[in-house]
Amino acid sequence: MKPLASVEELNNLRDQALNKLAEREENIQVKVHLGTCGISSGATKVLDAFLQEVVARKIYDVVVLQAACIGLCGVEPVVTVIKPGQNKVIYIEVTEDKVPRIVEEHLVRGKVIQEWVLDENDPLLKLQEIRVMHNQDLNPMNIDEYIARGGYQALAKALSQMSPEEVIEEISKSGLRGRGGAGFPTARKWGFVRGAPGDEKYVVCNGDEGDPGAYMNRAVLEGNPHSIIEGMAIGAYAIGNVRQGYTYLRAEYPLAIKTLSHAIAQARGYGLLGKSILGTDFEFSLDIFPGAGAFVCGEETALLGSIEGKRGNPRQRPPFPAVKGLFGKPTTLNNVETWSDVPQIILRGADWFASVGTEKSKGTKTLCLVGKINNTGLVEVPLGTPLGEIVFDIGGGIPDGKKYKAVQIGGPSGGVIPIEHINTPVDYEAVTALGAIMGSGGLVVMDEDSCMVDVAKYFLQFTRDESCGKCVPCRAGIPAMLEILSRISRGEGKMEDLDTLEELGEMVVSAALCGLGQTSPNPVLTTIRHFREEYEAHIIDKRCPAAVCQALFRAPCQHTCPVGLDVPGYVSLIKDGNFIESYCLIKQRNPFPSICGRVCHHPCEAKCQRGQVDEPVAIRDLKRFAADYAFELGIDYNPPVKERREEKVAIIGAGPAGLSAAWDLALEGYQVTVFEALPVAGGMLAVGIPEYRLPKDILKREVESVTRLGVRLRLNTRIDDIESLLEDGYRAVFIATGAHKGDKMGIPGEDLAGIYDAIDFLRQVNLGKKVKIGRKVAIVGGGNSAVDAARVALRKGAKEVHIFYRREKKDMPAMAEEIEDTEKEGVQFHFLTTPTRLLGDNGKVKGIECIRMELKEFDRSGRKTPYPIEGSEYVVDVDTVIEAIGQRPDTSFIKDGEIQVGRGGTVFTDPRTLATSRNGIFAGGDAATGPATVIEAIAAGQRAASSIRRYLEGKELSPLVERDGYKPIGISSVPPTDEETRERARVRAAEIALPDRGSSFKEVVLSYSPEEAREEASRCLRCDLEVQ
Amino acid sequence: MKEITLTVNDKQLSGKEGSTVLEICQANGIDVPTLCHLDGLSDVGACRMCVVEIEGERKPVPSCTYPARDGLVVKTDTERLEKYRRQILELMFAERNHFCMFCEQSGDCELQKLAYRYQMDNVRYPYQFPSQTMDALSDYLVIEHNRCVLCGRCVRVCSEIAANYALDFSGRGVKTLVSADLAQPVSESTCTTCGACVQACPTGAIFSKLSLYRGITDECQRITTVCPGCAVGCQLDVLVKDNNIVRIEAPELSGIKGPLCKEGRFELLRETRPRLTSPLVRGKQGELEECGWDRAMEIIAGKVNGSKDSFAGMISSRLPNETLSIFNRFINEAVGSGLLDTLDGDICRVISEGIKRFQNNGNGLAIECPIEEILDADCILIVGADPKNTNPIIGNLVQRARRQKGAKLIVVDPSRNVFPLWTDLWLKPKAGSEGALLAGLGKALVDKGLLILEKAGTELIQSLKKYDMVKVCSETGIDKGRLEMAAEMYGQAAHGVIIYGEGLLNSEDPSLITCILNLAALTGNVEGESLRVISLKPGANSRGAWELGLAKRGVERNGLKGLYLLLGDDQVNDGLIDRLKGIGFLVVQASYQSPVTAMADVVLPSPIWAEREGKYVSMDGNELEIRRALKPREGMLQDQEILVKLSKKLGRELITS
Repeated sequence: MKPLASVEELNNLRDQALNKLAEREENIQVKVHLGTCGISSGATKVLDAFLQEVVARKIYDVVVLQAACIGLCGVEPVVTVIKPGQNKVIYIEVTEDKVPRIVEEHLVRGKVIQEWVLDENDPLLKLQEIRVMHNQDLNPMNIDEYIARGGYQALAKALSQMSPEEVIEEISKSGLRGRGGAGFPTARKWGFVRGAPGDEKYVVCNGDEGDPGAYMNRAVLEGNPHSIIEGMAIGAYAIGNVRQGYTYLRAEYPLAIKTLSHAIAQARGYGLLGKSILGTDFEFSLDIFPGAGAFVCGEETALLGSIEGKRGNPRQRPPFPAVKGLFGKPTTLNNVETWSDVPQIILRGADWFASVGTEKSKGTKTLCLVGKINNTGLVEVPLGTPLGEIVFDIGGGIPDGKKYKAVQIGGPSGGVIPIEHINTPVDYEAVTALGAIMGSGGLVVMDEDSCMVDVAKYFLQFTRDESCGKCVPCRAGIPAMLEILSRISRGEGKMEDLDTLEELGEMVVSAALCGLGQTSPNPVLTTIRHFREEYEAHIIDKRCPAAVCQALFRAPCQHTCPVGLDVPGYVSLIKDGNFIESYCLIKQRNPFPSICGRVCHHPCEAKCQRGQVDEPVAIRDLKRFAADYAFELGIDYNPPVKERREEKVAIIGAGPAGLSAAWDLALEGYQVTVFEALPVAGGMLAVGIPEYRLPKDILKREVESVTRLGVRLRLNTRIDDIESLLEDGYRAVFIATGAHKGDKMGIPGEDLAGIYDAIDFLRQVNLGKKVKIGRKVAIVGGGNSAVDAARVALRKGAKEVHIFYRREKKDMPAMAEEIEDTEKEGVQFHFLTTPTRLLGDNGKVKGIECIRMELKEFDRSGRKTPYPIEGSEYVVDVDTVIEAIGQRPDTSFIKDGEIQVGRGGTVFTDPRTLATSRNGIFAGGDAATGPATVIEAIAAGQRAASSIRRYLEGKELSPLVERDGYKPIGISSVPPTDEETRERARVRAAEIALPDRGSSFKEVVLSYSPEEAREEASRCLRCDLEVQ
Repeated sequence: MKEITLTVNDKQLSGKEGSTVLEICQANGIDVPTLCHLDGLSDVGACRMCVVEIEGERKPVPSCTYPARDGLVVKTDTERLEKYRRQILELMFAERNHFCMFCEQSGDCELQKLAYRYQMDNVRYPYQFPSQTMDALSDYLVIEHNRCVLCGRCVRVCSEIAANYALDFSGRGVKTLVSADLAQPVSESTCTTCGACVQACPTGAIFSKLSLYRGITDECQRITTVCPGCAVGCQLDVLVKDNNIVRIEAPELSGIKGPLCKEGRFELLRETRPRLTSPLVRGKQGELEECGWDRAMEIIAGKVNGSKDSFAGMISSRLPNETLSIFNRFINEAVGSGLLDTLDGDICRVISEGIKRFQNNGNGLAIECPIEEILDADCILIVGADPKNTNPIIGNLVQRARRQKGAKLIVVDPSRNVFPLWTDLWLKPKAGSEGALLAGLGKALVDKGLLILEKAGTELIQSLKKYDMVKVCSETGIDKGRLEMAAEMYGQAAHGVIIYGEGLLNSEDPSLITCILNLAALTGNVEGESLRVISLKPGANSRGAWELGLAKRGVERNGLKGLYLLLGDDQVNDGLIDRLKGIGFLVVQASYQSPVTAMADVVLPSPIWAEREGKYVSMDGNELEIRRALKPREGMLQDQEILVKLSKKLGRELITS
């Protein structure tokens, strides 16, 4: 290596290097990406395997190269194959054993192995704007490749054509702001230091990237080290009187240190660092200073102190480093990415840089996507890109169909941004406005399984451990907040704790010495701000909705079950063959095991820890098995009724809420009467759910189990006057009338004949009434009643059934297994369409006009909002239309002012006690919440029963439902064996074959055999034992 | 400094540019609460008690670090600030185990005072109840981490003032601890036990074992006097309650002599020698027996009268001028023998002779510079001295110059590298070859052209030029290169200071001192009439005794018929015992029993340092006032009174002013 004495020599070198690259491009290039992420996934072995394979097979037109991380960190090792004149192909998750086939099929025979390739149209790749990361496909250990790509041209341009002031002006015009997180305008910082008196100044690169889940700087350090060197040299020139720079790198990045050291040595070799750079009188040296593992050293004053050899404690500003920095001299400190942005701005111009981004935040930003997201890795997007686009489009959304909850941005100093703000543009101002900070760019995605109290705790633990301990607010304030949070997560919190946390957090934000302390309360403050209800659940209900805070429960499944069923207990009993005891245990808490065993939406399974190994335990199917097994033997167990009480209680509605309240109150000894307007008991279970999912006799036997306790059931009795019930001596009333009124679409033609609403339609069918159904049926909607109506229509003789849904399949609210079955049975889905009008002939419907929809911004549910595409209308000929777009309670029987009723007909209640605005009257289930699930209705019934009991006993109502401590016999305390925990799929319950379904309403899914049940039960990991 | 005006709490205040907001507030009587701030130490803004609101700043800022500017608008007492301060106080109380009722510092604690100020009667935050250890292994001080608020005052005082850098923080966050060296017990660390940290600590986290439960500051009377420990002449604040010393502290921690040393702060309180309370005479069985003053004096007078010409006097130079002066007259006028010396007279005479040979006009000790010069030094040459042990404050000044200002440090000593961690160059001449080394240094300076020749006599220059370097090297055993290096370091220094002490003085060769003075003069280390040279004198008032002429000549022991030793509370060493052997009649006037009093024929009790008053002259010539801190015991006489009475018995009236 010979020092380059002029810009001309640099240009010559560039031309030579370009030629070399061009020569190389005439061959097939295989690039193995050797970032830390790649190496840790075995990329070095893959590189060796390619070399061996190519050599062994004597393939001469292939060059095997190393390159840097291109951001696909979640699917490493990654290999790019480029054939001359063809698009590049990216192989993901390449292991050594895949190499021979890639060589054989792709390199030799020219056939891309599609199943191993990342589609180049993948939004992950397409939606990014690669600038900082534009050299990641090069070999970072070779300066010539960087020079070939125009490397050091910016430095040459600055030195030969620009005055220092012009350089600062150009940076200023570009709008570049500090990428370390605070977003301070870079040119202004440079200007301060340039203007500060002193003939000895420093530039420093902050590479102490320490946020959990953030590694974008590492990728640049490892992949594009020369851009940092060049940027710093340009900065040194612009600032003036700078002869020495330092890069402070965290010691945990050994590869980055190695790569950058190597790059510095090469730059020195070419005289791009050192004295008289490119023949000018500009002099600049650069050294690496490895940190020692303190997070706080990312704070600029602590970092400078650390370089000076002192304890890495921040110091109070002013004086600012621009005035008094490293060794007391004026110092500019910028983040890795900021420095890396500089050469391109100088070379390609401020306008080019500012061509993307927002008004105040220009250019691109590298971000790390981690947590509950499909595409884990590194992305680069223009500032201002909506958060939802990053998470859902580029990031591929949430794995396992779970619900997005929030994103933590900016590491432990940042905050949590909830779903409501999913459309927030990711730029400095917008993010700060939500109480978070941009930070260095780590995005930790959280789903429904993340507990916000726990998240706040996690980040506080981090900042507690990393606080330097100098100032009191940070050192003592964080542990105090953490202790309060721990108390809350143990269920020992008080509502005042939230005020204390907010008050304390505000003080720490205002009074702590440095950025670490000042931002440390952000995770607490933002989670309280955006997820207050989760805190309240921990404090008031002693519940962790995400089933994370272990002190509050035995097992996540049990904790998630609205009625708190002892799932580990009954599953364990089934495993040991104690089927009857298992059934009795279920019936301690749930009067309807057979029903729930069939139609429960099983939130327990979503939280089952087995799901993280392979698939959740089939908790619902096991419950059904236990209940069916007992039924076969003629066993109907109910817990013993307590002492008889004379008080009369009236329940309006014999749905799951009403009946479960009746059951609980009857067990307590009260005299309960249930009034039901319909001729059958069961509410939606009877008239909403089709028989093939829930056979009538099953429903009947569980209703009878309730009446056997002495509950009086008065069918065909519609209550129009609550007052009269009280006059009749009922001491308390529970309104559980469900939500049986279908919503209308509000489009022209809805009054035509042949149009039903799904609720009405299903009720008619279930009550055995004659329903006229045509040949071609259109269903509008995407919920459970839509798919139920579709399948019932098929069974009622429809030849063609179409479902029109305005969003995409993944957005459908119906249960996944139901959608699957519906598809299997031949129902046709029309996604992204919505009806605009119904066409008729002679007063009878004959067609449905639809319009296609396109998805735009995200709504509060985390789904994109559909908008009609003008002019895309089309007509489908149908003779029946079933509207299944929603349903609501019909509470018209409540007289004005008698009880407070909310919009949409729901009875206004305290959700924790179910008390209405009137003493002694309670309401719950769908009537109070709008359409919900069976198990939630059962839970509401139990909650109402608990409140009614306390009311009748003259006690204060409580949000906590008291449960008797039933001690089942014979639950094993032996943890599962290794054999039992090994990966294996769940046991599938048998279904009747498709051809046998036809017009039959026979139950589709069958029960487990005892062997199957025991086998499935043995998959339970028994989290309850671990917790205890 | 420019005068600036700012608005604080709606009032116009003026102050000097370069001050902090806190300083201006305090100067104008605005009471901003502080905890980590201590006058004289750098400010770090750690405790956040002094936060104020400043117009234009997004967040409250600590006033202790905020530079005052013209036109600033400051609020120090808003509701928000007072709320924050209370919260911060509560956090401090919750963080460790601050239980005032069990704390020695209760009533003397800044944290407690702040809690009263903010009426903090409860803590709303969860107590952390850490279990921190307590370092109580030292005989002098205790570090009780449970009461530490991590204000860092001890750390800063240890580095910035004591220049010892023994204390620092270990760990981080809530686990941060004040640690000595690499987290060793303080007694096993490089701590010199100067105790500055004890004085700096705002709580009961670092406290003195010697002052435990003796009393709190408010109950004490504070008397400023001078330390009798060495010739530096540090001022001491003696805190007295019920005629007992509660503790000793520095009147001004950040002053030149601020940190004090183990001797001044602690050892004076650790006196264990048995006190003499009444005159003793040797009885019939040869045992010392108590007797009245009159009888003791009569016996002495009898003996003196019988042998006036051969009755000598020796006195400790720890005693103040007034006592020295009376003793002088007592020997000269009342006894009349004129045989008089101080215990350190030999050393004084070596220095004196050395100076005399250097300058014929004989300005005496005024040739030496004030000790403050050490702080400004860029090169310090220490010859045959161990200031850290003999005069710790001098050691402290050397360390400050070396570590805080980057002065070069050269040690010339045959056996000891007295600053092992900080010496830049240690020249280790063979024992007794110091003279050759100093001459060799002179020769090297001449050769390198680093001497200011016009000031030197040609004779000296010629003699130095002729000096044989090879001979120097073989005589001293020092490599020529190292000698030249030392010459360059000292010769090129703009502000070179030479410190010499007992290692050189014990050689009894005045030419060494002359040589040193010549080196300083010829390298231009001259400040007006004086040279940048400091000799470490052994006694607290050696210079006073010298200037009073008490040590002009030695006393020949042979033929002495009697000797009057005024020892006061000075220490006794083997040398002294040897010197007193075989003296016919020995009077010892001392505060404590010792082997010397055991040898005496008559023993007279003498007050101790805290019971005396008078004046000292420090080693660099400052006259310092000693104030009486303790009332003397009943029946005791001051040294002067004894001498006056005794003179009367001898028929001589000594009039004292």
